[in-house]
Amino acid sequence: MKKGWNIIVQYQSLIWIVVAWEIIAFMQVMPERLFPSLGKVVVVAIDLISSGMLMENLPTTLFRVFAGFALAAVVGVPLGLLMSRSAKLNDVMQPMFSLGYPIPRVALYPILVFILGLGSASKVSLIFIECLFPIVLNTYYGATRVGKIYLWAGQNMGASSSQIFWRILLPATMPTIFTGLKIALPLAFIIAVLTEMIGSTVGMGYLLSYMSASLMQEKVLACVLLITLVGYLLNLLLQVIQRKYVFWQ
Amino acid sequence: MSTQTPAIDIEKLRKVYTRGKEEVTAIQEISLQIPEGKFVSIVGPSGCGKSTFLHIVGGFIPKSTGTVRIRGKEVDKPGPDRGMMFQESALFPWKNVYDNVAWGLEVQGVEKAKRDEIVEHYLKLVHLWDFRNNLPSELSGGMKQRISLARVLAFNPDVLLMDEPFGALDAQTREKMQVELQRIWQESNKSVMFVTHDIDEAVFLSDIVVVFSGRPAVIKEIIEIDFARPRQLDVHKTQEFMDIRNHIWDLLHQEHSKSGEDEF
Repeated sequence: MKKGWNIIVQYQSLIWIVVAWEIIAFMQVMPERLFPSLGKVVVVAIDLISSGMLMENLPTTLFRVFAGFALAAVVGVPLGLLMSRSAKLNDVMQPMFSLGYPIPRVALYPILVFILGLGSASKVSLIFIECLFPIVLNTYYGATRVGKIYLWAGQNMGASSSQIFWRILLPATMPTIFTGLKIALPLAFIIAVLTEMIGSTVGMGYLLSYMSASLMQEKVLACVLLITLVGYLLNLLLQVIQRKYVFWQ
Repeated sequence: MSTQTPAIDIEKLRKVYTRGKEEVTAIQEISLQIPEGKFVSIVGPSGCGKSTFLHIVGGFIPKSTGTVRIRGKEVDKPGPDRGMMFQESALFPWKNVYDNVAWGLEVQGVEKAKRDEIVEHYLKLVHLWDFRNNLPSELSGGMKQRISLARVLAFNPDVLLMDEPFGALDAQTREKMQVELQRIWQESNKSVMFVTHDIDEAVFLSDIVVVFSGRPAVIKEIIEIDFARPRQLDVHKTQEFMDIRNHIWDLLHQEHSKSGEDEF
């Protein structure tokens, strides 16, 4: 009972928004066409799921998100770790990441489309680039702060450089690596939806722009609701993985 | 092996740092032989370079000139022939106690059955076998240092290097740890080089106390301590203990007044 109440208190802002929304919808401050009640939106969302529309589009988006994100993690984590170990590599790479970080990289999308077309390749590439930044920078930052005492202990026990890299530096950096991954994953999802809205024939972004074309607000909102839900579940998944791998924190 | 070869043989060791354009001499020149099986402490005023000295012997930081030999073999990189124990716990927080102690053996390719046997032996030696499944974060400071000692002993180094291993512990735990260390050291029969700023600790534990001068470090005096072993804590109360203690205190305080305020 107490626990249930705590959850309500914790998510109260969400409840206030829903209540306010329903009051506005009920009082018909705006025409229903533009401001449908959330009940209606949920019905349409369920309809999107049961009609199979969601399952036609969601897997493609998820594939793009995971492909770009995983690629960025596989490249970015070792790169960040290596940059912390080699001043030369850091001198070469650091300006690129520091200067590139604040610019809007979505601006690269037309160029990527020009080279790779409107299919998954250009979208996965942009997601990869976008995710690489927070992953590399957080990994690098974390790795430079790993106590040298751990690395010394490893050397003292006769570990090779690669054992020290993979079995001490990597796990010791894991907490900040996850900070980077947690910034990157929502970015991956945002970029996937955004690029699918710009040009695609499948995916959650496509579904959203298709629904907008119908000029039916509840369909658009149902789509937004589903996208929000998926984004939330993605973050939850990452949190579960983090708890499994960074259990000592 | 010849009994004449010292466990640790340091010849004309010198360390000069470059800080910008400036050259700072941390260690003037030190030659020191540590015989097999002896417990040797190094004391000196804070900032005198005694930790630097130990880190050079461990191979973690480069020396400027001179040689370090372990059982006659010259070394200039870290290696499992010298087991190093640090002031803070260097236990891996993501590994449980058992895996921490087994880690060195594992990377050295010791097979599983043999590994298990060794880990069990040393965890029992430090009386912490029951905590083998705990994470380091679940242990007290004193327990962590006992695990660290077990981890170092497990890969069977020729010598032990200890950098103020009890420096972060409270006074009571520290005394208990000193008695424990004496017991474990007597069983393992290793040569130890022990750095501390605590004169009582050095006199209680050591066969030989080496007194360093302030920076740049040279050896001021080498004092042999020959209380019978195993020593009990009440040896602190004997006149002889206090005489040695006071003598070292005087040596260090001459240094303090000479080196001025910058040591504080």
